[in-house]
Amino acid sequence: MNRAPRPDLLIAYLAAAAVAAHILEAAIPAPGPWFKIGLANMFTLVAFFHLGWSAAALVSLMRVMAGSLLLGTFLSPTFFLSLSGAIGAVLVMGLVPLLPFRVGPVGVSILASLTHMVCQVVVAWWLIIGHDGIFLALPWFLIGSWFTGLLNGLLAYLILTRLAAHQSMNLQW
Amino acid sequence: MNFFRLLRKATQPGDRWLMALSALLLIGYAGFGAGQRGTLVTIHRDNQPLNRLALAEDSSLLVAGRLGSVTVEVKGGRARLLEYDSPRMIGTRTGWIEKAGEIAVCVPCGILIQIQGEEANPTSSKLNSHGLDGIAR
Repeated sequence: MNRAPRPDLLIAYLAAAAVAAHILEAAIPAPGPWFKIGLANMFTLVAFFHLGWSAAALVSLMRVMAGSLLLGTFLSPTFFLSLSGAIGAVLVMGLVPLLPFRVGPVGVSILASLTHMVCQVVVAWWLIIGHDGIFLALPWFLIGSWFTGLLNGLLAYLILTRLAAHQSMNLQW
Repeated sequence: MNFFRLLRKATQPGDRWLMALSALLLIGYAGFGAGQRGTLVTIHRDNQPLNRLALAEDSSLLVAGRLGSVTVEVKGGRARLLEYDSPRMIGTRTGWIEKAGEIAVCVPCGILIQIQGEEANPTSSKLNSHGLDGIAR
């Protein structure tokens, strides 16, 4: 999997891009903290397919930490929502290679996106809302995250094809 | 058009199976959640269960809220909350609720009503018999 001679640099660049996407997206008005496209997650996907699972986990966790520090939500309920979703999604990514068939960025993205939503709603129920009524809305949230997962998967695919095309550059800095 | 060409290029059979399967499961899940009708409406005041009404028979119940009285009305298998002294009337504007799990809340009054599904309450008749409804009716 380790095709780049300096994977640490690529991880840092991907994490920086993810933090930037995270903060840009926070500027887009949304009806609630869990109705986001999650554009930052496409960089996690790129890390997963280009460098492997541990790189994806690093990019994802660094994005949540740095993003929340910059937005001032560190250790707030929003942060825990974000963190739970990120951890859940990364764990599911780790299970994907165990599947009996090969799955590309789109499939992984949809799986991770659905997991992200389930984790967030469970944590929101636990920390913030505390009312079972929230689970009534879960299927509709999940339908939304299916589509955002598809979008992020396609974007990650586009980035990955370009990364592969530039492999001759060998990513040396 | 371009989008579908990209989608075909970006996915392998495994991706397509996952997409189809997850979409089907989600549609089933959403349909199942939407289909469950309730049998009872429970009334809570300040998070404490106060009373229940069966949805099968039309009735209405006056409940003492923090801001004055609130009416819970049951009609045709649905329930609603009618407030009179709430500043924004959010509970009333929720309108009729009928599916298991749905709620209408008046936060300033401290009153919440929720529809319960089939299996929820074997004790409903017992609670109904010593609840507030005898006084309030």
